[in-house]
Amino acid sequence: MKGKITIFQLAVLLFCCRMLSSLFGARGLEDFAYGDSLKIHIVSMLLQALLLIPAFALNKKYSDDGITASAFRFTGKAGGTVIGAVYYVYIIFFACVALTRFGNYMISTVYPDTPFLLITGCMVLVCAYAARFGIEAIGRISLFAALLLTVEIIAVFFLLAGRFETVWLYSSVAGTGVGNMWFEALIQTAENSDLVLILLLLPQTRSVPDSKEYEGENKIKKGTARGKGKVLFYLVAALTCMEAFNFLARVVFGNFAGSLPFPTFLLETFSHMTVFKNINIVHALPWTFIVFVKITIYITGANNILRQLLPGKAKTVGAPLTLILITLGVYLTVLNRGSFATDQTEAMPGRGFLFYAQVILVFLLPLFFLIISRRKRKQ
Amino acid sequence: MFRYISQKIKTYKIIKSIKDQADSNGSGEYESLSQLTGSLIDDVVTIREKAGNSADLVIRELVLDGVSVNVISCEGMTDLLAVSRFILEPLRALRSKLRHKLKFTPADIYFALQKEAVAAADLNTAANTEDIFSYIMSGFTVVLVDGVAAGIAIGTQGFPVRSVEEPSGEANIRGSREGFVESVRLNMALVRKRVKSPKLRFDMIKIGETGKTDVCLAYIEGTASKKLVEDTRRKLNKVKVDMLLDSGYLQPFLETRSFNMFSEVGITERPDTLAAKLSEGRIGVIVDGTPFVLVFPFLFVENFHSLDDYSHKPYYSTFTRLLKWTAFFVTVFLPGLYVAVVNFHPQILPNEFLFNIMSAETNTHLPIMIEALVIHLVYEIMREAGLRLPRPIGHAVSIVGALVIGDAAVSAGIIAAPMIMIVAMTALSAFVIAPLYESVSVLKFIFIFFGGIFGLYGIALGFLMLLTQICALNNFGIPYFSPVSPFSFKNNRDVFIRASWRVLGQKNIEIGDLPGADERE
Repeated sequence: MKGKITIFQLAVLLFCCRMLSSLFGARGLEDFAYGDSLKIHIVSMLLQALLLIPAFALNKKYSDDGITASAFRFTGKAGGTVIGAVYYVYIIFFACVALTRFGNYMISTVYPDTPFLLITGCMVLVCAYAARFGIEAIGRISLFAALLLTVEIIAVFFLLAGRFETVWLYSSVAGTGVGNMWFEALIQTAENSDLVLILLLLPQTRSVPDSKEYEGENKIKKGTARGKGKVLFYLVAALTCMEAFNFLARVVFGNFAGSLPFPTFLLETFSHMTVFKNINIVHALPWTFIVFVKITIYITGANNILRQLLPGKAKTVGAPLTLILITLGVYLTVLNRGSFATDQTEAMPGRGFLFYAQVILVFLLPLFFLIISRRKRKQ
Repeated sequence: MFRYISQKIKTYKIIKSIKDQADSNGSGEYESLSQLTGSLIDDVVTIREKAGNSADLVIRELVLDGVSVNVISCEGMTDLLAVSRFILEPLRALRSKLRHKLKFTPADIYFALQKEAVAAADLNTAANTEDIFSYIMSGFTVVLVDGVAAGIAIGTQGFPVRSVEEPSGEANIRGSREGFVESVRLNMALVRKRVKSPKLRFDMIKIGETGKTDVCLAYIEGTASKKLVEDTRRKLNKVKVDMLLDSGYLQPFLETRSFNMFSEVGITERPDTLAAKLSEGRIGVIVDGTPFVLVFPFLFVENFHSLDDYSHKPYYSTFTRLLKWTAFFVTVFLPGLYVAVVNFHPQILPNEFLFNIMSAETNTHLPIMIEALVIHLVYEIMREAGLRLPRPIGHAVSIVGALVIGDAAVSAGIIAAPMIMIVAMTALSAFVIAPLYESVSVLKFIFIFFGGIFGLYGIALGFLMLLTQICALNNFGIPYFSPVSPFSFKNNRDVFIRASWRVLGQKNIEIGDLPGADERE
């Protein structure tokens, strides 16, 4: 079972990836009262879980097959290659977006005089180095990133406790209808790039061993489904942490929270410590770790797809190709940096297209493969 | 006629037993080696020729009932008392017995000798000249009987051995004062003294084309996984070196990657440490000629453990462990952090502190990164000089170094006073984590560079690369950073904190139980 992660590690990885949304400004901070934004997040999470049902069902049947392998299995070589290429480009695109947003965050907050490409270039090189060691290594590193961020959240929460103005929780600048809430929840679901990550990571996950049993002379570890509850637990933990940031942003900044570029970071900078003066850079470090985890998973996922698209050549061609594409992508997005700055930007190019792409790639294609597999079994 | 047939059968039995012995060792080289002919004169000539008439080759000739017997040994390697007791006395006794009996064949003499010499601790059979050389170079005495194509190798080792002393590199406050020595046999005895179990196994392997060094694989059967033992034996059998002079030569062959900042193999000079590790399912490799024994699978967290941790009170052991972790971070990151903060992020520091640093730094002429690199380089040069020189001169080097670094460099405006403090703290911290000294002394330079070029962002990226290297390692199927990541609460009772023996004693932590260990053992 080499090169696989445990359910616990998968949960931690997803936690890290979800938390990055808080840095770039989670949706729901603007226009809605706090209680409504919480509802939006919960509804969105339920929708995401529904979207993933076909993918989970497919994984249960073909546990070692990734989505690209399933594409090859059910649509032949040509179909598999096309579908694999689409997933590859999709992943690279999200890696570029995450990297650009991170670069933007760094130059807007702590390194105003440093070239954007130097910051993103260094990060992508370190991520490419880590991706060489596969998902197992990044699964282990993610624990430290998650721990660091959790400590940061708790520290910020306590340091800001004196500044809470709970009145902001009950006021909203715009009315919230049920329709608006559903629409907002749909948008959040469609923009969540982590759903594709779950598709990629599922076949690389093994169940948590619960006990050791003996089979002849060999001691073997048997896993049960009990570990799968951990994913749910950590997704709830991620939601709680994100909500904690939203809550903090709301009670500290009030209705201005929605219009701030990096509300989470601003919260951190507001939480002064007595001895040190300005520790913006220190607050940026946990986020650097989180971005590193997320981009490394993207690169690892992209390399895994390439391994199936270019069997035998992936080692020589795959890593450099991914690296070049990401660098090119970042360079291109630099030209339109403002649009990618935060999750809140309505002007992000191809936003409507992304919505449909998400539904097709995360929900419809696995559903399609699932239907074909059932038909084949009946035949 | 019957006598002739009986002699041939006996000779055949001897040869067969030698072949079987060679097969069981897995050498399979029986046919390719230069076999003994059975003619004593020819065999001795071959041995002399191969040894180039070496001055330390001692061959003593005797005649027993008309049959020539030669006793071969290496001067200085044997204990004369043992030679007399196990070889010469039995030979004399045999001679007196033979006087009163019928004529004996060479094979009879061979077996009778073997029977008489049974009091010797170690008794083996040499089938070829290579075996003979291997035995006599290890302190054995070989007896060759004319007409038998085999020799009896009798353990009469008596070469000079250092007595058992307290290890210099692994001193402890409580516990045993015994340390390993250079003799593999003595080291085996030191371990056996502590593990009085029939399950403790010692497998001998010879490594080195020319040196043919004895290497002993120590493990406890049933505790160490079979796969681990077999993998180790396979790896050791593949080792291709001419001379194996130290256990460090074997390390790269046991490690997963050719380049790695941290050692995947632990080293100990203490038999009690090795015994404790063996009880956790690990394997020890004892190499003849060195007191440093290799232990693996080795985990990163073990660099911060010492035997004293288990003798002190748990709260104090926990405190010292946390101290060691702090020392590790101080050694690796403090110089880099200082350079990064002063160069790129001075706003972090409180005003008064910043003012003091800046007033000291403005008096120096070098950029801070260069200043840090130079001072650490000077320190490493001094340390290396003090280490290799004789002790009295070594002290002089320390005094000169202290004067040069401490006072003259600051007065000359080359180095700022805070930097002196940084290098002193780094150096002191490095001594706290002695097993990691090699890694941290190089890593601090890398982090000075990262901090000087990219500031704290560079240090964060460097830290991530370092973490990746540690986390990506799997040592014989065991994650190197286990049980921290992959995390296991159960196994963390002896990592950062050291639980009481009441808890630790309930169940022994075995290496195969760690999280992330291979699914099937």
